[in-house]
Amino acid sequence: MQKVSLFLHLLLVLLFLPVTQARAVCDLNIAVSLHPYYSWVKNIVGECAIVSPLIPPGADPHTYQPMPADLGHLQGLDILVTNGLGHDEFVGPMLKATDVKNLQIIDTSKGLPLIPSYATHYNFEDDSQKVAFNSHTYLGLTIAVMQVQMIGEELGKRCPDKAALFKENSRAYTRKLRKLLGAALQRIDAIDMASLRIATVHDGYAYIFQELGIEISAVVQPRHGVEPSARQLQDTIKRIKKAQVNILFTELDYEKKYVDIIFQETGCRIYSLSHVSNGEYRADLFEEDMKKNLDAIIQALTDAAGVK
Amino acid sequence: MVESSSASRQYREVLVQPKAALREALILVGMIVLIILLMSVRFSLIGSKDTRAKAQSYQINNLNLKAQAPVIYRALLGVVADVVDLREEAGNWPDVNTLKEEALPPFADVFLPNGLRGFAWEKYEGAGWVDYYGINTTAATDKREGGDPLENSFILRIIDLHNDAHPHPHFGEDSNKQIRFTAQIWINPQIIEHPGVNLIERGWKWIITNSSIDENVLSEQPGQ
Repeated sequence: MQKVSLFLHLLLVLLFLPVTQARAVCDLNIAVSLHPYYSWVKNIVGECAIVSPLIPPGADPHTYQPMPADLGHLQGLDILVTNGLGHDEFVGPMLKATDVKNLQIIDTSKGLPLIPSYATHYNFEDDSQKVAFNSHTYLGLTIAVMQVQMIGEELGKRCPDKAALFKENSRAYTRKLRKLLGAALQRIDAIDMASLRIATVHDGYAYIFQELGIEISAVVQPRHGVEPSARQLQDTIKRIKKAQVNILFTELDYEKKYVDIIFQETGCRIYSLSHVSNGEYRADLFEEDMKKNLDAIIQALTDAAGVK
Repeated sequence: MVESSSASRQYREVLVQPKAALREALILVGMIVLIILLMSVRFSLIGSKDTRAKAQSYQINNLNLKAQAPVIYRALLGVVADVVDLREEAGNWPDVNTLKEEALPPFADVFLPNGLRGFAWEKYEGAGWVDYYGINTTAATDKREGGDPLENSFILRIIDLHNDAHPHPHFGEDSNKQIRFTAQIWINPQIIEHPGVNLIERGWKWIITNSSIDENVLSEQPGQ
């Protein structure tokens, strides 16, 4: 009986040994609220931590309503990476509904130089005004670099034995992001942009256009993901005509029928950009989608400059 | 005839007493006044939460940066971690050429839009601080008309809080030894030589964000 007990004990030890060893090396359990944060954190920690999304792939973070089953996901988490400017509004109710002890929230907007929100009335000269900020802080490369560095630093503080690795990984990743930006800027140099007037469907792309040195003449429909009514579409067309826009950037899920109507009425070229908030959560998703966005922007500028 | 006189007797004039109407009117006015008072209290509470009122005279909110100045500002903030890492690796502050070789914008200007590539950068160092000072040479030579005056001169200052002789002002308490380096970006509309350690006297403005003044303690004098 004693031998059997010893054997079982040894078996149990052997069974749990790899798990306990892995936990000793990578003991951080991190969740993210948006797709880009998954890519960033995964590139920082590699295989040295568990990284998971807070909401399922395919769910729209703008409209997502947390389900009771989602709340269980918060249990056992060490860190939650959030937008901090309301782009992941589902996070608040989830945190309110559960009592998670020792959960550290990394607010990616902390300390960032932000762009005021287009849709909100503000007055820079008057200090009594409150300003609302553009929450699409993940749709830019320089601003992504700053957030990756900040997340890496925070994770390093929480896991000091991996701080050097996280820093090294952050530097390698931010180098890749900067390269992406540099390559795009070089291609833009060759384009004569004097006659180009650009509009976007909503103001989510302000950060990327600013770092490319491209001025947005109009934001025709500041709200995201809203199917335009006939009146809104008419207003959009009016705004495009008024601003003499020749390139309009829409979103990937913007319906083709609206694109066709706008093209027929205004003659402006229409291209689609990704919001980097769809599909599977992958480490390379942010880079891939931002590369596609940069390619689409350059293609649009090249096409429009070529026909002037 | 009899029927007609009994019908006329059924209708009587009822007068509303002026006293009662006055009371109702007073209650209504009182309620309106109360609502207005409550609204005023609410608005004054919201107004007092504004963070930008706390900015010092030598600070400028990043929201007030014009034209493409935010791009340089963001680029400078984005390299602070790399500059500090390079210092820790080499034991001294990296020079501008090293920063270019490391492909760090705005020092490596291929990572900036075309209109911002006219900056020349120099390094200045003192006890407990390093400055990376950049002036827009294009603006200096051409004196271009209509150019944004805020784009002309920038300083990225990194302060070593562990050095007792470090300059002020800065965010963070001197007594807090947990944080070693703090970074600041200063801007000047004029194209002037590097001013030395005291930036405020020469009209430089420290760019701050709403959250930075909200979340940090400002140390203006040594020992604060």
